[in-house]
Amino acid sequence: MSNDPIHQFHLNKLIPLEIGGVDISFTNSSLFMVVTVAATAGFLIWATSGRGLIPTRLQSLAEMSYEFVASMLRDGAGSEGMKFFPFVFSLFMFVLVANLFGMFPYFFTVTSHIIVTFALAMLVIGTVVFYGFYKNGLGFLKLFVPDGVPGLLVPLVVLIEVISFLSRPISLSVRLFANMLAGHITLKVFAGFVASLSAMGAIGIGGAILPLAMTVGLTALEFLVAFLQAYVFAVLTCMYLNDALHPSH
Amino acid sequence: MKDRANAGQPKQDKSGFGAALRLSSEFISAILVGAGLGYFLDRLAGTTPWGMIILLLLGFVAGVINVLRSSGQVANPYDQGWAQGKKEKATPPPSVPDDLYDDEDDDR
Repeated sequence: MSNDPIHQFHLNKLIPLEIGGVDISFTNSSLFMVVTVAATAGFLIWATSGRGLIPTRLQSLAEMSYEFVASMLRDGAGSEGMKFFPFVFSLFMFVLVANLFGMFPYFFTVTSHIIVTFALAMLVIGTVVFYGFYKNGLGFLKLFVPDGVPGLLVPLVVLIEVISFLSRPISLSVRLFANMLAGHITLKVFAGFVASLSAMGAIGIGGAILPLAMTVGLTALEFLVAFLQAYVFAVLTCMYLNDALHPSH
Repeated sequence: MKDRANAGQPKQDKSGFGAALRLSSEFISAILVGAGLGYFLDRLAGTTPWGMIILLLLGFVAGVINVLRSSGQVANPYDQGWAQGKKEKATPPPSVPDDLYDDEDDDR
């Protein structure tokens, strides 16, 4: 049924592939990931190809996105964090462009699947843990022991802090996924009201104006959410990288 | 083009829907991690059901802490204070001038 709000998240195998019993088919999700990466890289390469001292509009947009992520990273993790700039910038641009591609009708929203966002979040937390231990050795574990806790309470507090730390990749991924999923379903449901109401004759068409107005408003909200969630994802990445760089808080 | 229009957004999201999803995801994820950790600990050590009971409750505690931290009700030791705290204690990393830590610094 065309009004099914879940149908848009359906995975279709475009090129079925199976290696060693593992299904690695090229799906519509993979296609849109490739398109996202290609569009992001293509845009940045094309926009900066002029290398003008006085930037054109496109070059200025590329420079602004650079400045935006760079200042976010400096605020979040200090200037040592800048060694992670390529990582954070790629994450931010990937999530942002994937979210914005999802706003096109009939396009697939890559970030509306939890396995995609969870993989991104695990990449972040994995980087934090590996770099934290690589840079600070066992001193990284100081992250779990806040200052000024009475000795008796330390085991309990450490356990709570560990659970709190382990919950980060989950909350990071669930937040992005839930926002995109809920937003797209809401949009589809309200748009579906327009179609089914206007099939009911003159009164229905009059009534359909209300959900239509709602759909217009929600579309604007979804653009905001698409940007905001990419921003939140990147900001939290910076915050977690800060823990890896300076674990003793 | 949208990213340009929204680049000047305030740091926290103003929409209540966004805040609700943010806080609930913080809370629920900690409970899930606590319960999962307890479950696997029980399976490894054969202490059913005590590990799950205790760690689920601790998961609630961690969830409350997560929510309070992300809503700014208690000081978040992770995202602030390392700049101020470091200065008294000693050894800011030598390669970096001190004024780079300043939040007001626009870098442009």
